[in-house]
Amino acid sequence: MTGRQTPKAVYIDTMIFVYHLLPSPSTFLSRKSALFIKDIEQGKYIGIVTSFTIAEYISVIKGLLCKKRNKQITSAETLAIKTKLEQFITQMGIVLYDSDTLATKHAIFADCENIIEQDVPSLGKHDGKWHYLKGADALHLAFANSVNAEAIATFDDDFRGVCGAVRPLIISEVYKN
Amino acid sequence: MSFNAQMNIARKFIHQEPSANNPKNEPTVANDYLPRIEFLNPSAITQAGVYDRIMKLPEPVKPWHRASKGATERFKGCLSDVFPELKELSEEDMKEIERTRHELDWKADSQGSIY
Repeated sequence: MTGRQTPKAVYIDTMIFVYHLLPSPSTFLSRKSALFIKDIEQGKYIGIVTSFTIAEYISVIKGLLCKKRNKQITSAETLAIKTKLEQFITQMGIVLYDSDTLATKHAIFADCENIIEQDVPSLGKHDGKWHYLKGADALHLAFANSVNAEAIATFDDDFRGVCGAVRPLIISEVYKN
Repeated sequence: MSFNAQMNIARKFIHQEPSANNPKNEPTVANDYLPRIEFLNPSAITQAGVYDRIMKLPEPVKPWHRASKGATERFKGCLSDVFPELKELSEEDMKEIERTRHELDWKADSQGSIY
């Protein structure tokens, strides 16, 4: 019997949105992000994010704009950054959870502590640097865990040593061509 | 013994239902050679609590639905509609983000894919 494969519930790392929504179609990570997002559109994955993802996204884009313009970002512009991402999340059918609500139902920060304690740092194959989980990464993982996500889609090598139910889905390795 | 079988025994034990091996509930005698399946595996009791530990997920702010067709393409690079200066982002700017955020071996990538 040939059936449609059950879509995998995948928590999406912030930088995937950054690479897709920034105008840089030719770079390596932008191309890979687009392929992954196309798979969400086609129903291969169920994308999951939290309000913390939106906050982190705004921070990255604000920083980029400040550097580019060499001046402050207005609150209206910040709202525009947020609105664009929310529109994208809505159009893509990505599940959005409120981080505060999740934190009231689950021991998010205790989970963060466990995640960091169990993480196995690894030496990068190409850059020769040690990769290990940072605080915000662990927070994303704890949120992913609390919503029963099966994997976390990321480009970040820091997730390689993660132990537990939420497995890293390294996008640059999933889409090799 | 399967989990279901164990739970069945546990239920019989807790509710004192008659056993198939001892329907009249007669006291067991020494050397009766009957299989003593009434013996309860303590792990069955600990596993029974599993059902209580299942937590309901909170309602999402935005629930899942099918993606709008072509959304991937429509939103690709869309930030330049709001911030035209982002159109001027160079390859080097993007590499800078990649380097700082992911510490990828970008030199290897720019010389040909490392993956």
